[in-house]
Amino acid sequence: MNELDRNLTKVAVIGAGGKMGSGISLLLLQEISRVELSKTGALGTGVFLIHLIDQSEKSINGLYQYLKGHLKKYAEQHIQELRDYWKNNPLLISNADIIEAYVEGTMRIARFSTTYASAKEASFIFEAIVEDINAKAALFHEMEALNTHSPFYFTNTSSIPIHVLAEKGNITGRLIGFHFYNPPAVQKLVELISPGHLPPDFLNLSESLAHRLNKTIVHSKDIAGFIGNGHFIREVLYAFKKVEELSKEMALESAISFYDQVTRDLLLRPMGIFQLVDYVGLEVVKHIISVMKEFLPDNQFSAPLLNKFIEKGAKGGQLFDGTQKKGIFSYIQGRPESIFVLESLNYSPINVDKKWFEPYPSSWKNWKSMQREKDLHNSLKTYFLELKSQNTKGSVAAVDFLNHSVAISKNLVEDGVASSLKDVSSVLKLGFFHLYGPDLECLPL
Amino acid sequence: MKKFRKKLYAAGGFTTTFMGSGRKEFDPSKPQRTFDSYLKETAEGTLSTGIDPNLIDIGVIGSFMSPRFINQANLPGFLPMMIPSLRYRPCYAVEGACGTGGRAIGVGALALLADQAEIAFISAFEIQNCVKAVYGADILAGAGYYAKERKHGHSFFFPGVFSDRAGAYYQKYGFERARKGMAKWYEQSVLNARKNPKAQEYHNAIQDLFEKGQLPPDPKKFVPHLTGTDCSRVSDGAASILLLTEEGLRKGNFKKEDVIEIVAIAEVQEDISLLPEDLTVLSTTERAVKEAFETAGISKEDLGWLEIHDCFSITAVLAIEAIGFASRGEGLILSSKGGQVPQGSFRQTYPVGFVALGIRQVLPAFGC
Repeated sequence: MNELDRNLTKVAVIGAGGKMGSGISLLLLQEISRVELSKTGALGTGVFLIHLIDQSEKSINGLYQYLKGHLKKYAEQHIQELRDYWKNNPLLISNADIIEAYVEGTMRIARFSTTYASAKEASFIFEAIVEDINAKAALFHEMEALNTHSPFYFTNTSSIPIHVLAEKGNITGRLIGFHFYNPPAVQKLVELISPGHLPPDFLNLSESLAHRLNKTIVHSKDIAGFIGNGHFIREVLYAFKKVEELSKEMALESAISFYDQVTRDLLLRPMGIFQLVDYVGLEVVKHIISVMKEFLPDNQFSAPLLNKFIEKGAKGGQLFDGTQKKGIFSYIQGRPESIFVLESLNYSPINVDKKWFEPYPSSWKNWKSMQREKDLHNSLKTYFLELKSQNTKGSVAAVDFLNHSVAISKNLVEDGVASSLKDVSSVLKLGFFHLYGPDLECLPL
Repeated sequence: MKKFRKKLYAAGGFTTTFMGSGRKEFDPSKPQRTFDSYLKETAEGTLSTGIDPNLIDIGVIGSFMSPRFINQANLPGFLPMMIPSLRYRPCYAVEGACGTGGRAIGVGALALLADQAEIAFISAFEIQNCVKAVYGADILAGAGYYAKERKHGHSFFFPGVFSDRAGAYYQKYGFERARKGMAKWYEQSVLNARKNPKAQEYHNAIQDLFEKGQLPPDPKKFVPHLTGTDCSRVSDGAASILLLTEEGLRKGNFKKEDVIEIVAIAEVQEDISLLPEDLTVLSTTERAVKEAFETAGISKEDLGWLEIHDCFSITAVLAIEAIGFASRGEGLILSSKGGQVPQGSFRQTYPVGFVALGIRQVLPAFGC
């Protein structure tokens, strides 16, 4: 057995019942099950174990159902592969037999627990708890007291510098940032953040693991926010700033809806910037801003308008099944339908004047249609050059926002967070489903 | 069968819409129509000929694997539900995999020829969209020798079986030309389906069908030698028809010019435990066709219309050869040309699912 497979015999996920933790648990469980099946021809023999730990009993119950359901879907989609694995087992004949055997066998690999002590033998420990430095550090201290095998730790933090966590947790040299995107089971991207002085073996193992989980790695330097949030948060702050400016000439709700439509429709994104804030969750965004403010020198990290929304009860985020919760917008079938009014604390219909956007550039297609273009690269260039030539309120705002976004990307490279614009582009495309990155040759406009 | 001792006729053919993926209104996330609603619809359709239902002497119903798909056996009990006058009359259920519908017609014909009936109501149905395809494959594998073949068969069992036939055909006669012929079959099937509002592929709006049909098989995604366009879809639907003797026609007030005469039925059963000697030949079909022509006293040159059961495009190619319209290896050429027989042309049935197919295939003779 190679070193990675040996380490995969004893894995723990802490915070396994959360939105990210459950997806990470599923990915790891599927990979471990694949290794066990390919090495031994059987599942759930006890050689490979993954401990899935969450302090909430309710979350653990939800996790159990989530895993069973997704493992079944996985088995249905990979049935031919599973038939090949079990071709010499005369008891497994029908697809139904094999799917059941896979699900039951894989679930036997998992041990569910509400106590950290279950991870005392783990070689690899994945941490996906609340995005709080002190909580994470406390967890690492507790794990170090329980687990005497010097395990490797993988943190899913999206913004806290890894070297800070390692020092506070007293696990320097054994902690790496292994940041999955939401939802982990679907998103291809992993941001790998290696703090200084990490043993090369650990880095190599981490890269191998990411490849085995079928993820694309983008390396980020260990600077608060990394590439993904480094870009996203700065865009959010800029959006709030522009909204505050625009609200001097129109209602605040109209200004927010305007910029959401600009960023979704004219910048060809799957969702507008404020819908994305809702998707991530307003409090999560606020928390990331505070983390970046703590660790980064400049003082731009402040969003009073975001704080107001939170104070007045707008939360965003998702239910366990992925349903979008109300935040800045309320939603019908995933589309913004009305907007939260701070004064009245109610939701009102979205009000955006069509004149601000029409006519759209003749080469415009929405995000979904544009991604099906055979020559996407040239279609995007044509579109953006046409957008630049237009003079509608929306197109002017879009060009300004896009150029600012490119500047954010360039600063991430200059500040050493990203190695190249290509890396920033990879994060935006793979992590945020953008159709293009800052390295598109016609940018900035 | 031997030459008929009396003339047999068919009238009142009806089919429901064949529902499944491809139809705009099909949504597997919503509750689907029940099988009994399909049965009632098709019975009403056949009775709309105006026949007095009390004249119907027997009923025959066919369905493949309904005990597994919908947990329903004892199907003869549903014939009196479909036609109340069949209460306390002989009712039979028939099963024969893809040939179930045809077998139902055969059983009905036997009853008429044995003087046990003058008018028979023949029906068949399938409900197969009630399970995911991955589980449906297990159920449909029951049409093969399950105990011996399922274990090492492909996850999608019958596509795997016919993929093997296609692979053998490619090797013997050439991959490119075979794929062209099969693609042409797909194209013409869908073009025909677009003319029939009840066909499952009626809403198929793909622009370049022939190009799509030529996409190469990908063993990583499906079976080694076939693609999705080579395979029939899974369907829910029902069909029915009346079989009548001359006395039945008289009783039912049918005019001969309004019905069709059945001049032959050939049922040939192979030993399921035997493997095909040559994967590129449908030997059982050859035997059945020979018998049918002999019984009817005609040859293929007398045919004006041909309906082929094309569960897979390769099946259609092999069937054309088995019927004798092309020599071995040439069926695909005929298919790619669209097919020409004296006095008519091939009418290709795009696959509408197994069982009711046998009855549905008779319907074009009525202009359906």
